[in-house]
Amino acid sequence: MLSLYSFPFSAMGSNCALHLYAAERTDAECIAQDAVEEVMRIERRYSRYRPDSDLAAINRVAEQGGSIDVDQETSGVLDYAFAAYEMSGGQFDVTSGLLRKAWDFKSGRLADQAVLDALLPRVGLDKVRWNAPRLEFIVPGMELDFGGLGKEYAVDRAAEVCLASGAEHGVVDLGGDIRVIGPHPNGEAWKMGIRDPLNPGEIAVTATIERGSLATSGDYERCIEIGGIRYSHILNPRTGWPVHGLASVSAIADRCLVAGSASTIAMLKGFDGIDWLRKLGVDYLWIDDAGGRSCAGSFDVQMRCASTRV
Amino acid sequence: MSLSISGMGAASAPQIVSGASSYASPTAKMTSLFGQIDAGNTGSITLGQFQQAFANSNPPASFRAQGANAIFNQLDPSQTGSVSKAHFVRGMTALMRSFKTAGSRSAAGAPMASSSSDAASQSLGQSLQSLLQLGSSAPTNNSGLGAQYDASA
Repeated sequence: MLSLYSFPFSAMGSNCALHLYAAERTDAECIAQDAVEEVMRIERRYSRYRPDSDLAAINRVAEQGGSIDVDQETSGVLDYAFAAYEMSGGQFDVTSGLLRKAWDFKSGRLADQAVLDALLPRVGLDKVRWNAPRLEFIVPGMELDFGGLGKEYAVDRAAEVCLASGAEHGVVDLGGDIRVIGPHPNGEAWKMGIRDPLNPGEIAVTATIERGSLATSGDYERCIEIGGIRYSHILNPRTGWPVHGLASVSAIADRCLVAGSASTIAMLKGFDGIDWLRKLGVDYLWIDDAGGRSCAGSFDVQMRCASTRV
Repeated sequence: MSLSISGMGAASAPQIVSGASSYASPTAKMTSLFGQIDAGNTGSITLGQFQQAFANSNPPASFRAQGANAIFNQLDPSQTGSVSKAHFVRGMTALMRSFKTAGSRSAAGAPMASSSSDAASQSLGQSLQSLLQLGSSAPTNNSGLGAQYDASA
């Protein structure tokens, strides 16, 4: 007889939890401990807040300009980052974190264009040469930020650690980036709420997922609202200004890293992200700034929400 | 603190929420943690409550290394047996900061760590393949992931 055990923890600046079915609590604890340690390992390697992280070592070279050889795992992260950059037409850019220096979302003020103008020449993955294992920064003063990849990658790894330890039923949830290890023991799907971007305390839509991953990108965390316009932390790497159009995009894919990239790229594309999502072949839900929403995939015929801007 | 297990089982009760990444300040996190421990909303917590929370949650390694009693003693230097919300939030936030600083110092200058397993690289390779395959097929009404949306929540 399997019982469900939940293990909440904090990582990557988020409230996280593992939900695992096991015969005994101690079994679930052993699996959870390994999975949490894997999440922490990834955080230690790729956190931009830790001066001892591998990302910090890369960024010390990026600051000066020059090259650095990276190991196999970091090569994998960079391969993925460059592929996502290409796929997004240059909008998903791990060098764009530098633009944060122009934006203080607690200040209630917009960025100074002069500051953005000074930063933009140092943003752009096209200014970085990548020939594994060598990473070369041609322009000094650049910075990499794996914020759009790290948590999603950690979700996948935590789920894989659980699966490798024999877990068959459960969910990994790192701050809303989610991967299903397997359905409930009776075969029932997991039910997950999608936060309403226009009313973040509420659930807009519920998804039931038997397997795969769910990730959501939205404009309602870390934003400034001025004159009824929301300026979010999701920044166009070419202009340095927040993107507009979509308030939230959720995507379902086999892997959380892919679901996260799809949702973020769609957000970055604004209303163009709707067509982009349609062509992608993943299950998705978008909600725009005015509350219009639509979704697609195996579930669209069952979705009863209004689709006002298709 | 364990979540309510009874609330998690069926697909009829959503407990997992996906949304934009949020950031909670250390103070906000500790305030939230205090609220979870002080379930009766008395305004203070005892050593027993703290020990139980420590055992049921998954505290950071630096906290585990010290143990619940040692941590509680630092929050309650006068040994009154209980800690108010304000003392808890202030004390825990300071401890978190000091542990992080110590951790950073001890790891500074260490060589770039390699993953002990190929599993990590394999995982990234699979994600890359999955990403590259996106859009390679025509838009579909069936992703094969068994997902369903229901706006009636």
